[in-house]
Amino acid sequence: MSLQKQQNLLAKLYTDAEFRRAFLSEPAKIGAENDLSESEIAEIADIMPEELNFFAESLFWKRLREVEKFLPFTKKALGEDFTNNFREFSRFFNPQTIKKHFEDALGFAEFLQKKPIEPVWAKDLAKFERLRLIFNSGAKKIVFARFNFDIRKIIENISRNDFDLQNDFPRKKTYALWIKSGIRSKLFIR
Amino acid sequence: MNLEKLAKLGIGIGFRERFRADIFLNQDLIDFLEITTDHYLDANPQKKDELKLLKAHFPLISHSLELSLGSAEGIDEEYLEKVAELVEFVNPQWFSDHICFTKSGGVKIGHLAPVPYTKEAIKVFVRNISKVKQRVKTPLILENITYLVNFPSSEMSEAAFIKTILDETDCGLLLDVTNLYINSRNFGFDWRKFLDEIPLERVVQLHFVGSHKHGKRLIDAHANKTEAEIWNVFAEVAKRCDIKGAILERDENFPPFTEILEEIKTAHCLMKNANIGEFSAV
Repeated sequence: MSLQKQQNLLAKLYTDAEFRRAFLSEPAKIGAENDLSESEIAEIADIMPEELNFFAESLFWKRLREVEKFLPFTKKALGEDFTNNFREFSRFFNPQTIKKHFEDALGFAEFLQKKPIEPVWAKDLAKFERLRLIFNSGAKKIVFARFNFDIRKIIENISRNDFDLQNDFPRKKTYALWIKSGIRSKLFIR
Repeated sequence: MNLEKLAKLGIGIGFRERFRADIFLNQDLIDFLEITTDHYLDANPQKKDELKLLKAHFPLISHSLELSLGSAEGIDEEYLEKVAELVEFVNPQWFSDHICFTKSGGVKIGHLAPVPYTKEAIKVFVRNISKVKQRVKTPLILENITYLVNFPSSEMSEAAFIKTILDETDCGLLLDVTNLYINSRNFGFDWRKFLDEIPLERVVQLHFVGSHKHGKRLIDAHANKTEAEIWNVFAEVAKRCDIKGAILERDENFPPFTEILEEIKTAHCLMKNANIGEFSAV
């Protein structure tokens, strides 16, 4: 088996949990569907499934940890659901740029907007952190957004760890505006 | 590559934003910094200013993550160009990447993945490294990684594989003593024998940090204080090699900076006891 072919398959096995599960349960069938000969299938199937799964899981956890650093407030609000949702997100999203963790964080925060998550105000939090990342990256000099909850109160309380997941923040339309002028930047929330 | 001519940089840390204030407060105790190249590619103005500031105050070494020197499909030329431009700006004594692949067939793995230790893989490394060396004239050194997957198709040991690549490409070695220790524990081999097999005269730099236990295995989480077993590997390497520098790599679970400084002091002591001469900043 050529190294090129092997690496193509390994990259898919490491990053695609469903493909990995399918290959490990039916290597002959999945291998044939991916144009592998019997000997090529045997070569990959010789790798210990436990090692393959452990490495793939370690990749997932490394990726998750980096995204948690970019979205710390959303992580606080969602707790374990942050991990569960990120697992679902990571199944179909493979960052392609140099700033892979940044790209992951932006994509994940956007993904959460379409999910029925609890607490529901965490969507606004994810949106806020996403826009803050975009603004701080220097990509835009002005960023404006509307929120469904009192985003200032949410940010303040989350920063102080003063929040209760059981109690919703009040719904209140708020607006955030980030502006950069020269080396100074400012955030207005109203 | 004439490795002996490289300057001795001493003991430093991998730069992380969180350390920024502390490294300037303790500039006299930190001989040099290793920057992660990828953090400064396509950088915003703040990151560019940060790099200029670091360069003005410390000798820097650049360490990249995605050259994917083991990719059979070849080097990503756009990425190589960006790395080359950054290396030219930083102007380090040497720059480094890993003995691994990180992408294939349009899939980015997101981390350092091992290759089987075969003659074909060696040819791939030689071809890719040759391309890098054509573009970047600064000496390239290669780092050993941790691996969690063992390939039954391997034709030689990891040490023999590394030796052949270094010999054929004339590169130096960035020996990560933590990775070596972790692999020796996970796969049950003697790290001293590994040292016997690799060309120690090619060891330029070390990485060190504590290991992290995850289930039955150790992993390189860069999240713990360096433990005694890893200091033993460090000490042995320091005795046997003319090391130019060593970097503490801490990325997670950040301790008070005094703990980082303690580790740097320990590394200094081990270097001095190894009688390999005084370090001097460039």
